[in-house]
Amino acid sequence: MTELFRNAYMGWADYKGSGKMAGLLLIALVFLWFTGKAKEQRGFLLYAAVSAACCILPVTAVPLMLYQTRFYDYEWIWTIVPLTGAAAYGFAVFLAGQWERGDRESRRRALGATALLVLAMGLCGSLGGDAEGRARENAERKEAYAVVGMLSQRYPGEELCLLAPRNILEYAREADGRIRLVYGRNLWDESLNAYAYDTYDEKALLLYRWMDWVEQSAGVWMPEEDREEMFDTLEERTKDAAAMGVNCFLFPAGVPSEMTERMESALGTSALTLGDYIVFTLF
Amino acid sequence: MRKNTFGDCLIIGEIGVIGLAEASHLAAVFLKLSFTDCSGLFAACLGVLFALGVGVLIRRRKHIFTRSRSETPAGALGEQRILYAVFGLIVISQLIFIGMGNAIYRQGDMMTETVESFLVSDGIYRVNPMTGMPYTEGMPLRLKILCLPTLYGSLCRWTGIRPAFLVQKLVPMAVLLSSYGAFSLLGRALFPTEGRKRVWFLLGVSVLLWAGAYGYGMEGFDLLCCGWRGTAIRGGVLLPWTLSLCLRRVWPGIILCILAEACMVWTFYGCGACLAAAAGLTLTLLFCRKLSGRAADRAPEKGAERGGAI
Repeated sequence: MTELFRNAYMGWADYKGSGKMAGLLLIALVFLWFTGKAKEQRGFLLYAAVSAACCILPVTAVPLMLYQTRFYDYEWIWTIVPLTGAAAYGFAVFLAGQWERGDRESRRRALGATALLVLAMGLCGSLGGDAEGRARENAERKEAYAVVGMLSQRYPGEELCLLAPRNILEYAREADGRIRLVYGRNLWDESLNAYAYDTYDEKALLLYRWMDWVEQSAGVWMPEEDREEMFDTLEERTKDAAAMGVNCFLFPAGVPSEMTERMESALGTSALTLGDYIVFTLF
Repeated sequence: MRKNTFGDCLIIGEIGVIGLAEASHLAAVFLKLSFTDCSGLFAACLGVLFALGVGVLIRRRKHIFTRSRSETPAGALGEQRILYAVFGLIVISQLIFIGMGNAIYRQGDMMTETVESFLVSDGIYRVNPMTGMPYTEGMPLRLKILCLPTLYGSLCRWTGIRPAFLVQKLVPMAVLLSSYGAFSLLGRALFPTEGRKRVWFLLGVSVLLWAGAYGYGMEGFDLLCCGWRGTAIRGGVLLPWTLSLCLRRVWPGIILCILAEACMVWTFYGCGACLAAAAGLTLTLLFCRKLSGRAADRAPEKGAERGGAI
């Protein structure tokens, strides 16, 4: 229960910290109540105010969090608050009032008020959010789709079970549902584990860590002890992966040549180049 | 405001589609039908629903399609047209934003993979969508019974559209438009006789959805970045419609919303946000009516006292 209270308290701090939409609702409600414009929809606005207060106060937020089940985070209790509806009601009443009079001077003033209000509402958000992060994610998605497309084209009719870097596995099943994986996105996006009782065994976790090292080895630098352990366990991990059903290994093309040679000898196959990647197949 | 407008009928139709998807999905889960059979069953049910819907619309066309008396002065029509044009531009910009797919948020969600796995394995949850391998321990029944993957999967099967495109782009566009339909009905309930304020209301909603696109859990974010999720449909379509129904005192529609939410989102034994919002708003409306009733009772008393003094 203490944890729930802490979540409710911290949840509200995060909610108001990441954006000011709740603040906008409160401003709209204050404007409507104090200008006497709330009379026509008193019930609706009172409900908006009470439900928002229930979400803000930890004592009432906790029962709401229990009601919505613990599957959902704090911010979802705000679903019951007609935040958009009530704020838009205030927006409509205020601006319709501003634009009521038809003379030129009033219209000029109304135009200024409208522009200011829209700007203020825009500033309540984050004006585009994390554009850089989104661009990086989109580039990764594009690359993954291209690589999966190349694999499906090169090996038509084969039932691929893929072991690849994380950014490829992230989108592999979305790009082509025929591709199977020994571990999927739920290994790094833990919230997805709520959808199944299945868990990964020790070997899958070791394989995930090992693939992380393989990715690092294709980069500029990696810790020496990780590099040593990666090479020491190469044959063992490859054997485990094959035993788990992997028949297609996709590594970044920049991995050390020693790794490519040892993989070829461990799998008894030769590496093929596929764009910026190399592939080892067992069929 | 009339009891049921065309907008209401469209949302009822959407809820009907969700209900039929749920029925087909449950039949396939418990009778272990293949996905082909499931989507076939769903198609047959949809055909019946469509025929019934057209029949009802034709039969009640005078009631549903009759335009409400215009209460707008002729001079304000020009202003309304300009506002509708601005609103239309904002909606188009949001549709383009969804279509570009630059802000797709899939953390904690596996809808596309689930639809892919239904289509590839020709079965419902026969393989783990995350890996494509058979389940070792299974999945919770409370999530297994939710119907959206079957709905989207069936649409993919009938049209041949790739799941990623349908789920991440087409469905969010449709949900956004439905959401504006629901907010329009809420606007009609809030401003029953003021068309001008209704347009400002819709404009306000569209600006707020853009502004709210910044953060997880906000209505704008749900609709613009992950509009395929059940929570987005609930927040964008079901809840505004529920509120408008409460304000108009049209109770049967609220039950439909509660049921639709239970079909799409994991709720507390079916008691989800629609039930909580409907109960909360109804109680508040009753409280306000009682309060205004008391005030009205007091007014004649005071008048009588004053009259006596005179």
